[in-house]
Amino acid sequence: MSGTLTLIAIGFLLIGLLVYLLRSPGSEEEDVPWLHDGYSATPYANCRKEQLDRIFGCEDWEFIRNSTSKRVQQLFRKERKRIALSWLSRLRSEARTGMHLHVARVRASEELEPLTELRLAIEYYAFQAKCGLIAAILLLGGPIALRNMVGQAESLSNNLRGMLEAGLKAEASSQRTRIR
Amino acid sequence: MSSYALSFWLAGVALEGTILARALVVGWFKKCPFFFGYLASVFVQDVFFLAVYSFKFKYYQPIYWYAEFFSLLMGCGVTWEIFRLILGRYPGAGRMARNVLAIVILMVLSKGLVGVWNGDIPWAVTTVELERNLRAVQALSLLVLALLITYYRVPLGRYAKGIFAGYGIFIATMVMTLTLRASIGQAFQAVWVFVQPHCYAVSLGIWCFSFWSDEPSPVEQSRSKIEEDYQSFVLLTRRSLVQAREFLGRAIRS
Repeated sequence: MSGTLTLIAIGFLLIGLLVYLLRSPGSEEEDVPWLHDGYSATPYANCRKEQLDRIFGCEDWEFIRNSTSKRVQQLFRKERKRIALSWLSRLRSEARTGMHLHVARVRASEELEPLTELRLAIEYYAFQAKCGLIAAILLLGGPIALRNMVGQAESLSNNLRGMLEAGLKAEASSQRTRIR
Repeated sequence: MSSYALSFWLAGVALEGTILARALVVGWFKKCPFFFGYLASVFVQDVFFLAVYSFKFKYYQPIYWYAEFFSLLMGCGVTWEIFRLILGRYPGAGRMARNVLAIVILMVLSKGLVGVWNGDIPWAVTTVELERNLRAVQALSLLVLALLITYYRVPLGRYAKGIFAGYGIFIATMVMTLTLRASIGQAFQAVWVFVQPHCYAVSLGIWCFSFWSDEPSPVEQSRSKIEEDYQSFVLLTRRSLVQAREFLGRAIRS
């Protein structure tokens, strides 16, 4: 039964992919403009640290929380969420562009190494998944919730590490006692 | 045979004849010998079967299966030709396809052998099962090719796209109908007899549509000029991914 289902799934998957390929445009050689205009090795140069600190930092939020009304606070959170999401989407799209550039360049290379390609693909999809997770957290609670969540996770992991270290110390001391 | 089935059969023969005539006029036989050889053999078979079906019906079934296996062998050539046509200009993606395909086939074969060894899966005893298994291998190959085309964004010419999509849809529907025929049995026969010609007609329609333009064959297009150091590209991509990840990490920690 599982064999039957697998074969039918293969058939459906193949038809789905072929319909997608039939519908996708571009019969000519794909034009990749960034191939010719000196693609920079650092496409994220514009994503400065100050921008990051500003969007995800707590200074502005502290100021708004202490000196403005609830309505302004709400507005601020809403705007900050939009800005954070747009920053994240830019980061994702730059990574996507980098990957598209890579595949467009190496697909013709005779030196292509399947294992390296697989590792790169895993790295890329892991990055995209991480971005998706962060986007979901941002959508649900905004940058401030993200920061709080990370803070909580860090303190939780510190507690866990402390407990493990304490447990290991206790184990080591009991072993020492047994040896004596 | 009903008049609908007969007219459908004749329409299929007419479409095949049209495609073959155009291929002869434009000179595509040299560029895609396996595909047009396959189509020509199906055309001859269709005409021959029509005569057998009408005058010597008792020979129809045994001859049908012999012809089916001949088409199956020709189909393996068509699959190979599709790979050559699409990935011929992209040795990198071609090498990736060969590796992925080798792994997939090795996995399928070892799973099948383990199943046979344990007695879970019987050997393909019927012709339907044997054909289904061989078509499934072709479908897997085409699936790997479709995935690589999507991942590497390999540009497809109209002809290559047409041959690939038409043949791929035909193989996919064959695998599905043969699977259902093998698992449900005779009860599916009536549906099979109705569905299979319609699926083939869809493929013929795609071929006819895609061949009816004057676009140059992708085989003739110039080779890509991108022949640079692979390792430096990998480094560049990895560096940009690491950088993006660092920014992401900083955003979370800020």
